[in-house]
Amino acid sequence: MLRRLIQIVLLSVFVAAAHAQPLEKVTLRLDWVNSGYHAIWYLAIDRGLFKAEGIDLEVLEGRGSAVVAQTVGNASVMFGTSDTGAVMGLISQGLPIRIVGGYLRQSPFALIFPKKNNWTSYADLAKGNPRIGMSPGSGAAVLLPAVLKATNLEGKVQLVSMEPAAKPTALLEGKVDAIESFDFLQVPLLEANGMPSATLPFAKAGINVPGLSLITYNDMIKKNPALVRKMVGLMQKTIELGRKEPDAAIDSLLKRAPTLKREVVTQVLKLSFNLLETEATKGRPLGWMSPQVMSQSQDILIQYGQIKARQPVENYFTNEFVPGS
Amino acid sequence: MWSAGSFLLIFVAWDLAVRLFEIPPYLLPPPLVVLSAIAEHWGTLGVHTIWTTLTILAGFFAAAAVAIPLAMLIVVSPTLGRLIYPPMVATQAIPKIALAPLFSVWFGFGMMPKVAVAFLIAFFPIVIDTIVGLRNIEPGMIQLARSMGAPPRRVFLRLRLPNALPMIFGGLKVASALAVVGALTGEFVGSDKGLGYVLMQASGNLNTALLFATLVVLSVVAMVFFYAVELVERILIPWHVSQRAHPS
Amino acid sequence: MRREDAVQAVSATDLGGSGSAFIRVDGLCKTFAAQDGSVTMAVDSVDLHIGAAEFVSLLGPSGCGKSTLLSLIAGLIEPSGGSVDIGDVRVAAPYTNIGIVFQSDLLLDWRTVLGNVLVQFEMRGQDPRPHAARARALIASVGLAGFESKYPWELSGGMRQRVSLCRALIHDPPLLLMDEPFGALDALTREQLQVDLQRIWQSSRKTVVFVTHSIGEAVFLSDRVVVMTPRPGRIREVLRIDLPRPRAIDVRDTAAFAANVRHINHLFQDMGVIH
Repeated sequence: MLRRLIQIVLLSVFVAAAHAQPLEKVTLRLDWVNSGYHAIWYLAIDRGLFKAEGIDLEVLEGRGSAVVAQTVGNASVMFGTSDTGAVMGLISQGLPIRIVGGYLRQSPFALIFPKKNNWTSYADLAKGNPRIGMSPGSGAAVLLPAVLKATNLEGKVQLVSMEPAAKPTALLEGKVDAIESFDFLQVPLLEANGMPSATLPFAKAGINVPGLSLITYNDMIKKNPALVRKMVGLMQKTIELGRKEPDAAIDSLLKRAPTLKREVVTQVLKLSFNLLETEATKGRPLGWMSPQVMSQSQDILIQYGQIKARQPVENYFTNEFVPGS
Repeated sequence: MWSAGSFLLIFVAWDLAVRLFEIPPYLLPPPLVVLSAIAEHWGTLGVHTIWTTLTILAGFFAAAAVAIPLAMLIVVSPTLGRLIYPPMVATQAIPKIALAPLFSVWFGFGMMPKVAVAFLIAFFPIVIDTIVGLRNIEPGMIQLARSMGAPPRRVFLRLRLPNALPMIFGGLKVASALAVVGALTGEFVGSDKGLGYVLMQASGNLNTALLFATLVVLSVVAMVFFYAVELVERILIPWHVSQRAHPS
Repeated sequence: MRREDAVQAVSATDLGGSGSAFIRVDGLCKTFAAQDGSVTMAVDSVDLHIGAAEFVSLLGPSGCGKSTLLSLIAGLIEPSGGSVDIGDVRVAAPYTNIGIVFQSDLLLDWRTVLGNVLVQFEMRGQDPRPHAARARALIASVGLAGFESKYPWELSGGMRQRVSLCRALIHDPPLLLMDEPFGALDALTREQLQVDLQRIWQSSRKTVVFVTHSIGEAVFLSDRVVVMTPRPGRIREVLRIDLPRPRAIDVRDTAAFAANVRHINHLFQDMGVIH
């Protein structure tokens, strides 16, 4: 009886102490403004995943992978999610950041076009001199030349420059025959506006630079590796939870961004899950990046001028914080 | 009365155009759809309007607080004027929209970069109009003041400055509109708060109804701000020809 | 000179027994350098003595330097040669114990009539409030009673010039300088203001130096008329106007008035100003 009592008291004290522990404030900046695929983070927060590990996570919206990477680089935010290609380019220019965990390890970039074009492979674009809408400087636009070269389409298509926001509209209005973008973003949007669409992923052309990854600045890795490990582990849990309960994730998202349209963002979220795994990551935990894929990505980026000097591929990423790897 | 009528006319023409030309909703939604979007998202729009308003006010007042004294300096000291004026004009040519993303990286995503952009855009018309206003005094007035024994400082404060007020207000009114543009630009490019951010989100999601709803709210904010400056003008310079009732 | 022309020239510097000169202009010259480097002589060796309480007109065609001469007397510009003395003071800076009225009324748009009159004290760094009552009286004396709170834009040109006159008088200066003050007004208002000015001058006994290009105005108002040559401005002749004071409006119909006007006209014809 007395032993039982002591156990209960000790447990209560322990629990109370754990709760009394001040939470570690952590900031994470997303690659863009709130969109369907970001829902997983909000669900994880609402379900207390981060709190359970002593982290008070603040999720901030971003304005493009390059900008987000730079704000991580100057330590104005602790973690960020950014496109791997953009990050590698910036690291090669000396930005003191590193990828600590892959998120969408399949390239999200694709050519998106109306289903009625009836294209099933890149070869189908060789006739008819199609117009491709692209926004210079975007992650996909940077890799587009590589895709065209790999698929023998150089000189056989017309590239039309436009603002990022104008791309879906241009496609809907028939001003262009295809656009480059994140496939999981555009397809639901176009469907919702009456245009069923299909995609030709860049990965299909062999240009498979990974997509969004979790990044942090080098000083953080040096000074607080425990936190980095926690965050990568939490990212794994966040992805799993979101994959299991997409509708609940959307609920959490809409609480923060009530102006978004439920059907569209749900689709976006679900499609994004297709990009979590690739051939190279089969059998590996979420977050693990393939050194071979990273090396190939560096090759592509060097070839197309995004990276000037070849570096050891470890400069770009590390798997040491990925639990289970 | 008349202004209400002209807005009504715009709405009617807008509605007709959408019907007549069968414009798809993702390009231009009909006015009623936009109005219902305002009603549907009034919470979001309301909160972000406050943020944008704060940015506009901060940028505007900062611009005025720096521009007016700087203009006075340039007028009072020709040597200093020759030093300051040319680089000031040169920097005006730099499109702030090119600087805004850099500001986000340097200053973060908070208020600073947006206020900085609003400040930079609103600054120039205030300086120029203040300089013109301060210089735009009849030489005879200066002669008169000198023969009254007024020292230069008194001539400046009691003559040049009040005389310059109408032109200064002209500059302030232009700047009020530009401060709105600047705040929007800053928000569009690097912020998670404000109507510019809502615009970005709406355009990215092809939510054109929300986009136009935001634009309508934004126009109202800009209008209110402009008329507020005009009200202050009416109070401070009731004597100026621009403030008198027009003879019928 | 014709026989009926009984008008005699007098000395520019000898005031004949009426006391020592209040204003002494000796050998005054003023040259201006133009942008292209050429030099214009505006005033050339002017000698002129003006007695206290005298009403003297500077009369001449446009560009003859009369306004320049006035500005030199006021100390608003520096002479290139010669000197100006007012009382015991050698004028080397703006002489402030004066009232000035220009052709343009130069009233402050943001002040009322009363405020504009009192600005004379404010510009001197003095508190205007003790003088408010006297200002009101002065405003009433020029026929503007009831307009103290009006703004300049609510007044006619003639009324505005009256306010300008009040501003020049409110601090009771011994010297009044006027540069074509009625030039911008219509003929009727002009005549009325000439009568008003004469009345004010007679009751206050100030020294007045009055610039004009109207022969009739100069003869009506002045004790002496200084006729100036076209540029470079020199004194051609100084006339004493012996018409009795106070001069009513219909003095203009008298033969003596006409004789003075005719004499001056002949001078201008002689100089080629009128041909």
